[in-house]
Amino acid sequence: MTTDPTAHFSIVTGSAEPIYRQLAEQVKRRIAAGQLAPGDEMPSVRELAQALAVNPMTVSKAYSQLEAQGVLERRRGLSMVVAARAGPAPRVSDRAELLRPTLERAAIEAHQLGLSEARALALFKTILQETQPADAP
Amino acid sequence: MNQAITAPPTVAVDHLRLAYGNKPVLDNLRWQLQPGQVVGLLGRNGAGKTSLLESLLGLRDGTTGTVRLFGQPLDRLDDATRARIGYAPQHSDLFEWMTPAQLLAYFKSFYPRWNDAKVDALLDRWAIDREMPIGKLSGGEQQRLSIIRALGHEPDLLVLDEPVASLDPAGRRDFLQELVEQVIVRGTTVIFSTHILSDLERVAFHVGFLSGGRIIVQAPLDELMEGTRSLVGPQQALQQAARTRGWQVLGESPLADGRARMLARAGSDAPPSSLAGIEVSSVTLEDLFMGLTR
Amino acid sequence: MSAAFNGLPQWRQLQPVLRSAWRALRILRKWTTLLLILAIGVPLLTMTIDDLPPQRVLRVLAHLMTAVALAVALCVWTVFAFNLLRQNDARSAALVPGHVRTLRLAMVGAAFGLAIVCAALGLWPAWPFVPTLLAVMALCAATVCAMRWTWLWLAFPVAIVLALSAARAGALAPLRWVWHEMPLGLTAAVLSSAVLALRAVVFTGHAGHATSQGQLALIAASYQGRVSHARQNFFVGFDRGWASMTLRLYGAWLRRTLARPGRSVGARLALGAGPQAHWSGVLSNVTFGVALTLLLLAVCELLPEPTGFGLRSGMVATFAMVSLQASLQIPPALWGSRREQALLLLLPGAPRGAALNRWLFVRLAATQLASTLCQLIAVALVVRALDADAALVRVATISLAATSLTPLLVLWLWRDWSRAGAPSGIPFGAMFGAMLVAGGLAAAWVLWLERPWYELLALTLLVLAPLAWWRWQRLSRWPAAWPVGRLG
Repeated sequence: MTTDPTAHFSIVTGSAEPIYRQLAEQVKRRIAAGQLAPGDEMPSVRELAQALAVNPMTVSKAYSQLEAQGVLERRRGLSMVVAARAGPAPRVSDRAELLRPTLERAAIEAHQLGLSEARALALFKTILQETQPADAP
Repeated sequence: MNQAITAPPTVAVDHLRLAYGNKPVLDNLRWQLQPGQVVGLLGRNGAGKTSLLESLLGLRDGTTGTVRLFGQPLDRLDDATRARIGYAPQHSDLFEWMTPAQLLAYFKSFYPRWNDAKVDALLDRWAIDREMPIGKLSGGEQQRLSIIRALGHEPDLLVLDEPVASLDPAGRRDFLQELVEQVIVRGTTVIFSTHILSDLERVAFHVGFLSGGRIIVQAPLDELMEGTRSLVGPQQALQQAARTRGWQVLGESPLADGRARMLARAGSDAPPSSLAGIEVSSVTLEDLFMGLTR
Repeated sequence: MSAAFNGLPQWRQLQPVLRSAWRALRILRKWTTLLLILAIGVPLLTMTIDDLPPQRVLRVLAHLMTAVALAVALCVWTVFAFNLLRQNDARSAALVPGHVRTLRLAMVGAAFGLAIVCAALGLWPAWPFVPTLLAVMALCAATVCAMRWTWLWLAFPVAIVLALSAARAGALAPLRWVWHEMPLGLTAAVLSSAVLALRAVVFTGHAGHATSQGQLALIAASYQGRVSHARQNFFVGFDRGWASMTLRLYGAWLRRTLARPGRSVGARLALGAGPQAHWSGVLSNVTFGVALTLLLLAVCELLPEPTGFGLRSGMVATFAMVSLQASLQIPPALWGSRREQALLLLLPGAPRGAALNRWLFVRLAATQLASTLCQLIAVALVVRALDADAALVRVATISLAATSLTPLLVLWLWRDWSRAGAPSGIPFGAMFGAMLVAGGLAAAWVLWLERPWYELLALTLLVLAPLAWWRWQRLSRWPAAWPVGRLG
């Protein structure tokens, strides 16, 4: 693949989520979706910082956090690579964990609107059915 | 990794006071910048950002207090230190009788180090006519030229006063990329003041809020945003909660319906996501700006 | 709102227009300083030069005072009309309903009011009412037209000089005949053309409107000290050509200074303050003044004798004014480039504190003395070139003596620049007064004491030396001169 490795990263300014966290979440989501396989090389800090016009220290903080969480690993003297995973089973819980921030926001809004738990859940179920992609398992 | 000799702070400001007549602009201001820090200076219009940046460089009279750049007091800066400082002022329509070529040759003659290749590359990339008098260039081109002039001698301390005010979004993006590629990567200390919060979020690692003549908060931006919460509720309850949990109250303002909004920063422990009777929400940089500056 | 469309603007709309023009008349104070000097000086001069029988003195005095009052009135009118024109910007003309109509009414009404006042004043020395009224109306219209089309400033003096010569030569007879035969017709013609001209200067937003307003803004900015380094286009074409020549001279010197190895920091720093503050700009402007004066001198050669001689003497005397150019030009130039000076102070090698003051003062003194020298050479050469009869040589000697006094301006340039404010119109008035005093002193030196002019030069330098030394000692205690007036 000769596509630009930094092309799939993007950040949003003006949100409550710091940029390093947005980058870390994006990496995790891409790994979970299979776009990044174990052993794939990540763009260097400098490359990614220049492409997104972001402070390199922010990128490096994101990488450090991912390294600490075991998502990425550092090869000796070279750039980061995606760490090898144990197996497909933990994947589901990891992916579920990724949905947490969005659900937290939805939960806060539900409380503010004064909706009961049953009502909110019923709504979520309806929406899941409405938006189900045709070829989903 | 222990260094016997640590570099002095790039900028060390102590007890800086500046007043116009009876109106104080800077009031006992303390500030320190370590080498390599990229700090965004935020403040309302008229808060004194330009005055502060000019005082840092010794361009203002009537300031009392000490300012040290690279460990040297302002009035005794030697030539070597001055060659390490770059400044792009807010008014970019300077030297309007010269052409860009003349201007850059002029400044080049003063500095011991000048990166011709980079200057030429930037002039080409930003399509600035080298032979047109600066007075006839557009505002955006003048501002870009001002930035090139400040970067040309590869300074170790770069002070930018609203560097992108006249640039369109493409120009701002370009400038930020240039800043990251050429300046930040080399470990330059950068101070810049801007109103454009999105630029600041991208590029600044630290942020400082100037309000009431002082730097009231200076912290890494990520930590500040993660550790601060906006709390809305009855005023008593808010103050109670802040007291018992030992939070730092950054700002408080009353709301129309008798409640109050408080910006509180938790200490080392994670702030809660919900509290009884109080709405808790995370903050964006804009919320911080509105809440912290007056 | 509907009243605005009814033709005549309401008083409600006229009032703010007039009020803002009147408020801006505050700069009038500086004009009155100038004119008070004129008012006192001119009659005194006249009375000492000619001996007149006593009963004529009073009549002459009446004429002179009324003429001076008229001049004051016209100056007031100039300022007022200028401020009215400044309100006539292209966007208001296009978008604000009734604005153009209101401005036109204000213009015509004020001119007419002024003309009536002046004609009433003219009743004291028994000037005829209606001709005075018509003359003042015509002058008002001419002034305002010259503000819009600035090349008229060159055309009008030439026209006046020609008219005066024609009057001397008796060419006024046809005009008197027309006045006797068709007074109403002449009145109507002059009044209607004046009113048309006054209305025409209020533009309605056509193509050249914005450029014209920009020119007015430049003039206003120069009076308020916010000079831009582009020289104002008072005389389109000639002046702009000269300004570009100045810039080219400056650019050539810049190139040369930057190309030389082992170049001095001081020379480079002086270039940074702009061409108008640099010796190249100053001397270039001095040369411009000399060239202009020579041009007018050549024109005076063509005129019939008594007028021609008077004007030629006047031109030669004007040379003494040209070297004032340096001192008049430098303060606004230094003020205008103060932001650049702030940047220059950050450059390695730039002097600071007392060293900066010393460096700057040496340059200012050198520039002033160099322009004085140019002046002396120019006058001497001119007198050589003209067929110099005794009278002209006397005038030239007085001019040389007056020029010899200009080195004293060094003391005026050696001041605490850090506390300088924006340049105002006062220096012009003060300069004019100083010029009159210098002229008087020089005339006394040459005519009364009958000593050669170079002795005055020597005396000036002798007086200058200790004063300059005293100032030099003080400058080390002054704050650093740059940035001038500080950036606040």
